[in-house]
Amino acid sequence: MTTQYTFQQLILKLQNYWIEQGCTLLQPYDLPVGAATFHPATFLRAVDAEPWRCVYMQGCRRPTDGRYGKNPNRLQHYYQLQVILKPPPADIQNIYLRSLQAIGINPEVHDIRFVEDNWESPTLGAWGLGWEVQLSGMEISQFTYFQQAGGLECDPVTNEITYGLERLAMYLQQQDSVFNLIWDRNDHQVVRYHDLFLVAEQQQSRYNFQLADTAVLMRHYDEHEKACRMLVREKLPMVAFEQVVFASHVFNLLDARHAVSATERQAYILRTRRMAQHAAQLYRTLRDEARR
Amino acid sequence: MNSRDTLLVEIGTEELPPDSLALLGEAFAEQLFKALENARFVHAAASSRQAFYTPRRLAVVISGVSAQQRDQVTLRKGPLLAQAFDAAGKPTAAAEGFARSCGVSVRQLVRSEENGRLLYQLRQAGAPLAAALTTALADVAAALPIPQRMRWGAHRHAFVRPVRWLCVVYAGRALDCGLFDIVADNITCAHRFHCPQPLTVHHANAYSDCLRRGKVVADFVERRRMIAAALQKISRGRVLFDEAGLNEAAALTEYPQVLCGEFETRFLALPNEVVQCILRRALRVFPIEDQNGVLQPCFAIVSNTASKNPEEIVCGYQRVAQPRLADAAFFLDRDQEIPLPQRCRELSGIVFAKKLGTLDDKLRRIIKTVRLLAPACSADEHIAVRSAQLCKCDLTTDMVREYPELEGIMGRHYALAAQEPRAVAVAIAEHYRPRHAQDALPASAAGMALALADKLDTVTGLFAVDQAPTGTKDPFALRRKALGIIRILVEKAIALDLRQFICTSLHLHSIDIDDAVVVEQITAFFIERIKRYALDHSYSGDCVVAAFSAMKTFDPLDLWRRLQAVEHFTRMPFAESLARSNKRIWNLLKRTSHCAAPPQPEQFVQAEEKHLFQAAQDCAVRTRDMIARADYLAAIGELVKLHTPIDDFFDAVLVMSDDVQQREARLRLLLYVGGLFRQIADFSKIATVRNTG
Repeated sequence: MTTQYTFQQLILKLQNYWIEQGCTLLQPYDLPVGAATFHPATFLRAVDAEPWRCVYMQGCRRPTDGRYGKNPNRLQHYYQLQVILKPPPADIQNIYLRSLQAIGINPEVHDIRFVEDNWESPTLGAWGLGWEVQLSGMEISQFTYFQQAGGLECDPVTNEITYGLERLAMYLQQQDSVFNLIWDRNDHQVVRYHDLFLVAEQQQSRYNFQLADTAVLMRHYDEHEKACRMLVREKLPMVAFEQVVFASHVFNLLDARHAVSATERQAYILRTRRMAQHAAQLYRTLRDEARR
Repeated sequence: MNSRDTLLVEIGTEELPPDSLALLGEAFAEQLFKALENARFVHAAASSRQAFYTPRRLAVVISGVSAQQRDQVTLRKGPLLAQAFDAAGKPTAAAEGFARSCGVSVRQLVRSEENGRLLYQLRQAGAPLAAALTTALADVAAALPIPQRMRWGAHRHAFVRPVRWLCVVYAGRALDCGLFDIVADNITCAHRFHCPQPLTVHHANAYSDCLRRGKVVADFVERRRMIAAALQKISRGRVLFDEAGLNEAAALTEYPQVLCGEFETRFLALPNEVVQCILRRALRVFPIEDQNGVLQPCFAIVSNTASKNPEEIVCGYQRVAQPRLADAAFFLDRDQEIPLPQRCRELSGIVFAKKLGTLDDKLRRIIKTVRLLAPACSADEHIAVRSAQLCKCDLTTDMVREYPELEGIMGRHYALAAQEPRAVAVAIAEHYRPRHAQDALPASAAGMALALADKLDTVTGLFAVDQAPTGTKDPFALRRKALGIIRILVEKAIALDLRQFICTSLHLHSIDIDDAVVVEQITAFFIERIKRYALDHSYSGDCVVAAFSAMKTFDPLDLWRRLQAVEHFTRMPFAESLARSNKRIWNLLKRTSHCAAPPQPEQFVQAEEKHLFQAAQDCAVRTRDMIARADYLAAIGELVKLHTPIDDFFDAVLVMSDDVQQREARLRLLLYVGGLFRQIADFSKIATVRNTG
């Protein structure tokens, strides 16, 4: 029987574990992102030459995954715990596995496996080689060595470990529905996931799938792209990157409205990637200049 | 003394990609063995090797390895002793010169009485194994077939996956060598969880047993056998596994344990393809069927852990299967609330590609094209058109959104559910084929017509909006689509003027471009693809050139038949002389000015001229029908009979006669004869024949 940590305890345990490994605790990025990789602490830091260790929580939005709160496993908003080690130590895999033990997963009982999953974010022009970590068939983490970000080679290599917290929590709390997860339990209240997120799931799903105006969204995308170009010209990579994040989210909304075919999606991805590459290259150039 | 012993070299890594594990493992063993052989540490005759590979290691055990390289003696022969020294016994210029060229003084050379010469002998002491191994390892690591190397730290080393340890044991001891800044030791890591403490390998021969004690089955074939045996023992039914599935399972485990999980029986109402897709792809487990081929509500798991509580593992997998299957059942129900034909409306809301309109626009174009293609494919026009109308509707369903690989397959299911004719449903499923180079082609006529129409529309459209593939980038997989079109036309024997259809398809896009230019671009693209296809099927380059030179309309099937005729030709007797004759004919015609007019038999003087003309005329008559029905193989059979009259002609007749009229007559005759061959191919381009006669 695995220990039943609340969601809150899970977050704290993992954060503390990685703080002990020398990671600085940061806070989530304040823009809507599809994955924790979009946080500048991951993406932009992956592109410069300094060593770096951090850990942070990140709420992620994936409009296409909305299910009006009716599906026990799918959410359009969920949390990732992100760990960045740049460069990673030689025994990083063991360090990761001990983090699982720290939250009560016994590797002699479960089937823990590293299954090849070479991660790619085509919109960020980033790719890496690595694995999804499976716990008896369920993916609980992504484990990646970045090779390129924003079209630039990563040197030193960044190791990214991303935990899918809801999945882990469901496994540990033996819950079949994410909404029954216990977020926190104290003397004053018991807070479950549905108390916090069910209504939002319902409302967001309706917006994402039925109400979002696709013509407006397409215009927004074009405007973000234009703004990004201007900001690159003005040599403001941090702000330019924000435009990339906005554009990416707008695209995700378009996708949720089923407004783009596979072929057109490819074209949008290439446009977002170009923006990301320009922002990343500018960031690196300015960092290099500052160092000299 | 040079002793021999067994050597173990093990590179410990993080989990290696399952698809290439066997390839890498075998390549590593073979290349390291060769490297040691080249460095004279092993004799192929006196050594053997065994490769071991698991997700976390590449290893090889080689017997009969020398501890030291044999000394190498290089010998260079110099001038004869008589010429090396003068009467006074002093070295001559020849001797000095030779000594200089060897980089030594004459005194360091050897006077060999038995040879009678001055000799230069260099004895190189053999290097010890350790140093040579470091070099060999670096070379082998760099030469392994790794499509994408990765770095994993602040250093520049790159490999297929991060390297974490090096275990090298020789004569019972660790060898002092290294790779990627990792120093070798005689310590290995066994099963991550069952044996977390490192193990010492006392002797190379003990490697496999040592790992086994650490709960690692090092031999790939043995792991595969274990898994197959365990899967076959499952009593719930017959586990569906193929070579690829078995190899993957063996490549993902070091200590395979087979378990059985279940899912709710109600999910058997789902289409088989859906259940299998979820089980195989999403869960990587094996479906099970009974002796009648009926899918069972259970699956086989190959885990890497001999769990203290296997129920936990089974529960884990079941808890992943359940929601996915439930989702699929939910999708299936919801999808059928809107029957397939009604989904056409939604297609106008999905952009196909920028500037190429929506999926609805695409469908309108495909319907027009498929009407034109149906006769060539022997397809019923009504069925083909109906299939075209419905073929993209399943893209709006939840099931296909969730599992894109089920596109077409769900189209078939939903079409049947909507009472569409069976042929329509089948064509919908088939029109995506072939999805890749080894995939099956559409089997039904309507399926073929639709596949051609759809792929053609995508290729011409993307070319029209300047999205053609470049040398390195083909994000829309147009090469694959073009190859698919070619394979269908050739392998299903469909005769089609492809250029004309490219034209028609391009025109339907109504894009403001110079159609003529783009049609040529696209045609050239297809010609490249069919050339590649031919080369991949072992047709030689010159046969391809020969066949393509005679091309009038771009009809891939016709082209293929010419290619087959040319290839057949190269294996016939007299092929070489006929190829030569053809070259000669066209060289003569190129160099001279002549009239492109029919031969003038009244001008013929010599018997050989008349004979050749007669033979050629007879041949023309015999081959006329053959060529009309594109039976080039038969026509070739007739044409080769001309080799004797041609040879006789060239032997006896002077083409470039001083008599202008005679010359003209002879050139026209050659034009006529050459033209007969050119109906099939340009045989002057043949460089290699398989049969000389």
